[in-house]
Amino acid sequence: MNNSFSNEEVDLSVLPQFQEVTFHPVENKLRTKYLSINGFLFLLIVVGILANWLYNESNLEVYILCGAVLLFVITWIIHVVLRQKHYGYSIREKDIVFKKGYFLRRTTIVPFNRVQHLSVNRSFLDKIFGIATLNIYTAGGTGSDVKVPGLLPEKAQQLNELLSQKITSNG
Amino acid sequence: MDDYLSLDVPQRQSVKGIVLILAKLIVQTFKRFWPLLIILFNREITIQRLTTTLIIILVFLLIALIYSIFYYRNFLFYIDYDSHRFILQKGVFSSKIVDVPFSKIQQVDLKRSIFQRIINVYSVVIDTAGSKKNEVLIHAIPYEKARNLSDTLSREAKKAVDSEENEGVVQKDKVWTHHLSIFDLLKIGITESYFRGFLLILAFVATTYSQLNDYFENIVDDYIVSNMEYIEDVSSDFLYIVSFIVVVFVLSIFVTVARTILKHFNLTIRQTPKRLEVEMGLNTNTKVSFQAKRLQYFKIETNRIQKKFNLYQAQMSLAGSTDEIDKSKIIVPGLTKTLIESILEFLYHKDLSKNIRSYFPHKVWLNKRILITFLVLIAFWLFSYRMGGFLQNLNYLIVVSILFLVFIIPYQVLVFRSIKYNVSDEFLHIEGGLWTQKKEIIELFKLQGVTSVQPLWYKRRDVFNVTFHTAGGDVKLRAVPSSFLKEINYILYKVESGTEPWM
Repeated sequence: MNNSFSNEEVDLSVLPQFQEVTFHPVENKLRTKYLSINGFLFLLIVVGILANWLYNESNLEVYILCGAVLLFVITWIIHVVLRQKHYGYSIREKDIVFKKGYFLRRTTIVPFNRVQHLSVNRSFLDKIFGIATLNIYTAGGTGSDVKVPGLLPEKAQQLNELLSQKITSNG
Repeated sequence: MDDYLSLDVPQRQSVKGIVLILAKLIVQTFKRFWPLLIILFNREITIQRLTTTLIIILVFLLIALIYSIFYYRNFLFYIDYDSHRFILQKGVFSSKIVDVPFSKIQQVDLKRSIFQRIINVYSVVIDTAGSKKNEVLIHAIPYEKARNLSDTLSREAKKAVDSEENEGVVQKDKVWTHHLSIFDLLKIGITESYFRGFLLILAFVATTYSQLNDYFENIVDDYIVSNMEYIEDVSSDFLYIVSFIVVVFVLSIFVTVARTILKHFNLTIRQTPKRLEVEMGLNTNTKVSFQAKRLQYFKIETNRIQKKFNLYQAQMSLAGSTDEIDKSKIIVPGLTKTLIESILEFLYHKDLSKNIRSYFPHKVWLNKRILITFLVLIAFWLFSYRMGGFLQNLNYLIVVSILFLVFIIPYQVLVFRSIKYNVSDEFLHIEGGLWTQKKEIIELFKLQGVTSVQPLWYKRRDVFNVTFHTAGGDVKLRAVPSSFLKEINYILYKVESGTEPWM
């Protein structure tokens, strides 16, 4: 396109480092939401055991089932608590970096010039807890789609506007 | 009229849409709960039961109607000309705001089912290369408005894309054609069979076994007669198994050959100045023609025998809209090395391995694979123990286990050593494989995103799993050392600083 074509070597060590960005946390309401779901399940177990005991039929299978669900709930609670502070997003000039997970620490980077479209979703529970999810879709399949949960609705909308501008200006 | 057609203010679909939403809701509910109806009708029908059922259905219909009305009321769409995008909001209990920039719109379709024909409305589907299908779908719009919406969006999309489009790459004026005969296909089919490797191992095991057998026969005098019978038993069993495996093997070759011929019959690959064209198939004729820029991912595959015959298989994955998913992965077998090179030259026009830097997976991955091997062995022992006759079979078991380890562990080590991750100035190459050898090639600027995953137990060793996402599929690099992370930064730099369109 222009004649002054240059092609100097890129020094790998001076490029911006994705692993060193500072992340914004997500709202603790996200953890509250998951803990509430767990609390509800826990309540169900208590009711199950009580009912079993009250009707005096002492059904072993019910106890086993409750035990299994209890184990699941406890693991889930630990998981939810541990992972909360590992959620994080960072918006750089040309891409978004999103991390999540405690046992599997996942970091996804999506350049703005590869984003296809955006959406802000709020499930029924999200509305109760006052949070929203920002979804960023790419052509790279579900693996490279980024879903940032636990944002305040106005924040999500604000980010949506910001990214929307960046997508259009970055092509 | 103008007002009615304007699209820049938030607006609802046609009121008739309520009927469509309701119908969809009823059909979905029926699909989910029809087994309940069977239970209901299986029982004795009494007036009381009938009225209860009727009331339940009526209540459901009422709720569904109210839901549909709310869905209709909350469903808003409009075009924001200032920020160049199409916006859609929906949801009753939940809410969803979808935001599509003009430049990302692939196509806009008007569709019509029989039901929509009856109530005289159209549905509009807006397609992006993003992953969710049918996300931007409006159920009921009258014709003029649908036409207007689709025309406007198509026009704006084209405008947005045109303003970004660079002039095309200069193509060499070289054209060639390559054709595969039945004989070629036969050759491919026979050499492709994975069982061939299996047979070689089997032959080895059989000779070892007969030697062991000889050895046992020499000392058999020390055993009582029943034990000898037992050995004969085993060898007849063994013969039976061998003949069974041979039959399966021959059959599998036959099936592979037949499949190859059916799928790739009359395979012709042709390069025109601007496009690559592939045509093949007997019962389902595949015909694809594409420009180099649509290619997202390239894989070369061969096995040790095919390599001797100079036979390579290429897989090309293209980006495309969702309705041609089956055509977006093109597999072309029976290519020679020179042909592969000329295809690569046509597709990339670039030096594939300029300034190449190599990385190797960390040893933890090999350890994991060996651990799995031992777990399989332990499972095998437990299984034999459960089957009974454990003590009589002990020698046999030990021989099998040792053979297994002698083969599998070196195999795992060699496979592990063959894996190599290369990053050059413009490309990512991944090589590996012992029997089947693969090489994957991705042009860096075509990547859509990168994910790195570090399991907690990899943290101490500072090792990551990295996945590169392309529009033609994901590529996973396992157990890469942390020194590779600077390459990710380089790759991101390539993607973000590039102006060439990726498709």
